[in-house]
Amino acid sequence: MTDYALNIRTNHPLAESRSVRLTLIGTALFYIGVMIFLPLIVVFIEALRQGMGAYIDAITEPDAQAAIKLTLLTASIAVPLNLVFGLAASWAIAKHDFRGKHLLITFIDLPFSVSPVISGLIYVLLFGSQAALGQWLDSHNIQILFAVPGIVIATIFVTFPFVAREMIPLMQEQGIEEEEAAILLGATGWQTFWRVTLPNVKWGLLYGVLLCNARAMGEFGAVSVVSGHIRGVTNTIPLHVEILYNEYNFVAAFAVASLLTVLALVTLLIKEWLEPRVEKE
Amino acid sequence: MGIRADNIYKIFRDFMALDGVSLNVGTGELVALLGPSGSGKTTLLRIIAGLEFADLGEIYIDREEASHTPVKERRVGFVFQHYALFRHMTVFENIAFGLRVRPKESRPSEGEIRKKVMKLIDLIHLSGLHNRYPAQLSGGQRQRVALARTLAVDPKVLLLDEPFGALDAKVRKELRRWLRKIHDELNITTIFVTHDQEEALELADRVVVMNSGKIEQVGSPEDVYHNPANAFVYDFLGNYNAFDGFVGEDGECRLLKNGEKLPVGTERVRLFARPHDMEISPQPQDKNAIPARIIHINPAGPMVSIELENEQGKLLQAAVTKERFMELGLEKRQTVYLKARDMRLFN
Repeated sequence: MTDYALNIRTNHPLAESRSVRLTLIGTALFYIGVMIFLPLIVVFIEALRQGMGAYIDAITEPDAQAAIKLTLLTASIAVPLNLVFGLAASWAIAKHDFRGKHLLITFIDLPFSVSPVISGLIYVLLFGSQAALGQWLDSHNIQILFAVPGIVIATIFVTFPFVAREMIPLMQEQGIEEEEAAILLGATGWQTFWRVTLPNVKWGLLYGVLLCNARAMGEFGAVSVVSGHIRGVTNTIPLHVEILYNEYNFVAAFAVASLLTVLALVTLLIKEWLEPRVEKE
Repeated sequence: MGIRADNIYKIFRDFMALDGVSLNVGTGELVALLGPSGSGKTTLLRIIAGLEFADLGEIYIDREEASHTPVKERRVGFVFQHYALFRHMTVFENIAFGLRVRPKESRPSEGEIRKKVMKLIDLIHLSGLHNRYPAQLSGGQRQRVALARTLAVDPKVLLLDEPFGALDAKVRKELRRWLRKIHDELNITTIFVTHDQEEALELADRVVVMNSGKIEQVGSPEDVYHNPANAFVYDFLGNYNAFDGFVGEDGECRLLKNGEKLPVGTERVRLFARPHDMEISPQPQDKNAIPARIIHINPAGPMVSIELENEQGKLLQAAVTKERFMELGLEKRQTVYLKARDMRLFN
């Protein structure tokens, strides 16, 4: 790769001298190596330090299994909900004009600009026993905080913008002429959405869902605040990793962490595969 | 199935797009809405289609008040400048779309759809390309697919928004002729929007010239070209030279020569002349001839067009036949004399 960069581009009108190129490429490679590749490799080395047996034990241990199940459950609720919401919001924003449109766009971005810990805290204040809503829920025996519903809600909040953020620019760029053409040809609004709008953005939608899912499974801050860290009950994978690490159980911590790392790598692979398709839309 | 627009007003925020426009299009007519960008011609077309709503005024399609009829029930065929083909569907599926979305009771069978779509693909000369996607077609082919897609649902009227605007000159000419042919065969009431005067004059039965939300003139191509109602229409339909002049006692228009004072009792007027109405001569034709220097000659085209500069440095345009050009032996930087054969005065 460096050879390609150094030789082929030499005659390019914008090419810098050889020494400048070497320095720039070297710096970039060093930086990526230290910041990205090294930690990635360390995760797997640490996880397998005591052999495959210890690795498998750490993953199959009941608390770890509970954490994996809770993470999958959370993602399987949060991602579809955000998919539906994101699609509806971007459709409304990109294809229609209405009052308060800009306000809506700003609100969709809110979870990105708020620290996840703060978002978790908002739900503690909202559903906690000192708040009116919390007291009412308590009296009806509905537990949100320190239970699965709280974790799901916090995750939805944090991953809320991913689908919409991906879809709005794509839909805006595609414009509304195809939809206008469909309606002029006698299609209903529903037919237009299913036959024209949705097929035109399907890859972009999948891309948004992918990013949304990665974040939903990896979210730490907001979930940490509302979960209560009850082992085997309200611990997701990231929270379980933290507990293990704090107990100096490094092998188990890294073993469970390696699951998230694999998820990240798979996400990246799918992302690579999706990107040219999104571009074509 | 005629179209009537009655006193249409449309305001976008602080911009008056249509300022009381009324228009009557007869059954089977081919009408051009001609005007510069921002003249309101596309807005009028979109209001007829139902894609926009008028703030005031009514639209009648086939004598029925249609202002509140939803788009999907208007049975209006609409062709967009940038085709608006469904990008994820083949040519076949694009054309079949309007038939497939019909409610079950009125939807034709798969066999009937196939027959109709194939017939239309034949009509647009794209046989064999029915499995292509829009991205695999040229601009001209795409626009023909767009037209076929519209014709598939048997529209009552056909509306085209700058249909050839995105195509190159040669394809544009070809499609123009082809549209005329289709219109004559199907005899469907058609309105098309264009900013190209040549296109409007060549294709339409009647031309509607629009400017800043108003209709300036409606008439046959011959009529609007030879008897423009006002300076705007005259200006928009071709190149021209403008002169200061006055109306003499005998009612004749006369040019005001350089430095000449306005005769007592007359008023200063603007006189207009087309380049091909300018006579060029190496010697002054009479005492009113305008001396000018040739600054550019363009011999490419059916006429030789010549740009000149008068004594005040004002640009003048003239056009002469090739024969006349050779006869005069005109050259760049030569000083010649101009006289207008035909001049117009607008109040």
